[in-house]
Amino acid sequence: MRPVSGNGKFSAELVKRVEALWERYPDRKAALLPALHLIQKERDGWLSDETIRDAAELFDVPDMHIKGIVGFYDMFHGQPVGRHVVRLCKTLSCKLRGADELRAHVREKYGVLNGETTADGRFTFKCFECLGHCEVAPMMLVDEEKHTELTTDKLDAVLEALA
Amino acid sequence: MSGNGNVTLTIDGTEVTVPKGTNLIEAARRLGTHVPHYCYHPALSVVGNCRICLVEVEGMPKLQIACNTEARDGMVMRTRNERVEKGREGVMEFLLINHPLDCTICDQAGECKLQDYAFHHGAGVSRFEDEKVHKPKNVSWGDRVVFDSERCILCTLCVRFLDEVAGTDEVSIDARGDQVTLIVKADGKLTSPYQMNIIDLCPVGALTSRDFRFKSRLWFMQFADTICTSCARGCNTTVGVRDERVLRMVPRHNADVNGDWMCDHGRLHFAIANDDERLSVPRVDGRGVPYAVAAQRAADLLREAGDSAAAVASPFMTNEELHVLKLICDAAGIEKRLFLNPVGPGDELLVHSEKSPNARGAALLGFEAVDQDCEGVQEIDVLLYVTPREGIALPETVEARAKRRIVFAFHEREADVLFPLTTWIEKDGTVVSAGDRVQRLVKGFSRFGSLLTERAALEMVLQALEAGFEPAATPAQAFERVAAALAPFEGLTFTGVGAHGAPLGRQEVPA
Repeated sequence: MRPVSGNGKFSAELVKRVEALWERYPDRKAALLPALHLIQKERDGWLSDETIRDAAELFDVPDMHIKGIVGFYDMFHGQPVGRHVVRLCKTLSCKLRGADELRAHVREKYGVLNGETTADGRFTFKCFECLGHCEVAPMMLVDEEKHTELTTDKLDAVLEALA
Repeated sequence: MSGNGNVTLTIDGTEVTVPKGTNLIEAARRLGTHVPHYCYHPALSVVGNCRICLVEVEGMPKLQIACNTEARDGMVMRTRNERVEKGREGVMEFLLINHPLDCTICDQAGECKLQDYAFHHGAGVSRFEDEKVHKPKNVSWGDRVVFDSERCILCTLCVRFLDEVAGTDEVSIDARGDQVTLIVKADGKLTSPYQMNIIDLCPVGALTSRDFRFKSRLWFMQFADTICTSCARGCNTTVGVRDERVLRMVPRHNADVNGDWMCDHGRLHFAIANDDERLSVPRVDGRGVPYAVAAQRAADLLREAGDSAAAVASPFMTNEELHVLKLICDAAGIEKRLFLNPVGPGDELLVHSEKSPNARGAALLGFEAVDQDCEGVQEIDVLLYVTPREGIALPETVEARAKRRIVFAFHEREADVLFPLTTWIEKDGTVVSAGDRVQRLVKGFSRFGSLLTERAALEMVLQALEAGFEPAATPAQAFERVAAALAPFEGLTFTGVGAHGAPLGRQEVPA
């Protein structure tokens, strides 16, 4: 990571992208959501208290406002996560088409409950509210890629392939 | 149409005309109708999150929140009927689902909106059978405020006050749904010198005062509507007392002085009123004596000294006390009439740079403000000295310039005649606050039973000097004497000054 403009806590590239976001909103604070996604990615996929303080400094807002955002939105992580984040949809369509069985399978085979990370740090497993693909239920999101019409075999194939 | 920027609407069958832009809570207030609300405060932005202020507006299919609905011409609004009550009952049920209902040990009990509205709008029973959500309790927000997340109804009055009024923006919301809680920025400790106002604002027992909590049930206290004397602002306050002790002081609304707020320094500055070591009887040459004996001795000393005496008054004295002191100076021929005038940093909100309530009154009554060096007091025979509050005093070297000393003080000290000094909560009287506003002090209690105020003690001294003088029979009569002596007080009456004060130099319109 190269040191940088901004407040010197983030890479030059990230600061450049955040500055581009600022251009798009009437005030800087409004760009927090997209910016925090970028920051989260740069900081190993989660937002520690230290990262939150750094971001607060970059945005010149009190840290509590960012902490509140991280606490509110499920796609921001306030705790360390594995190398990948697996989000299994648990809402109506997916539930009717077997999400509960998939969840039980993950628990049996990989030993993780909702919110837990595998012992090898490969992935963090999260049961999620509707991810918007009811027509191809049940589905899951692995990092930013969706996998649809899941069966236990299909799910295993995806998870086994994760580095 | 009402025109002129006004709108006319009908509330519970009665027409009312209000300025355009008025919300329905304020419109109803005009008719003396209370629309229940937690999160709404007239001095803060509207968020509409508590939902208890539901009203029915004709033509709108759903109940509306009165705080965020603007009064419109021809609007027909109802604040009470079965539908509205049912709506409020539903809101109350949700608010109480995770509330701990620990009223028996909660400081807010007796002045809690959740209690009041549960009584007026609640169903009386709970249908909730599951375990309540548990959240952080007894969370320290620094040395003044304690937070209980389970009691919090998330109205965000504290969040908005600190952001919009105090300007420190230091409390915010964290998490979501039934897990929501309040968080404080940085190290979790509040920094605002006005932070304790959030305790008064909090409609429930989520924010409590570390100083006051668990000291007394509300209904065992008595209250005096007086003012704060920590600076010249004279914030209007209500002082809660019990067993001759001040337990707390909170701001009292006065749009012309302090709005709804006061600073923490003023609020917490009452230890002297509760001090058990205070002087309880007058002393002459170190021996306890009746007031009459001390007054006679003081009068003798002053008469002998004449113009070789000096009077150093205190700007913590009321106009009435200063007036009697002035009459003593007149009677004894004392020319040097001074007062110590404590000053310090002020701020842009309420804190004034004059650190006493009545420097203006002292000046009006002919006393000259001096600093602690007190050049005016050189070699003199007698010094009549009313000590101010802690933080400022004549240096011993200045006092030593006098051969004899008559002193009013809180504590035991060197003096030929020593009178006990009383605090602001032990007396009735008036002061002239910032903006030349006359405001009243209202007595909450008398300490030690027998303690006389400076006015009464000084009147005894004056009586000993001048046989014809009659002490004022009531605080109102004492005020009349001041008003008669000072031109700027013309037209003011004690009743007219009332609980909210009155500006100097303005004729009162006769009723």
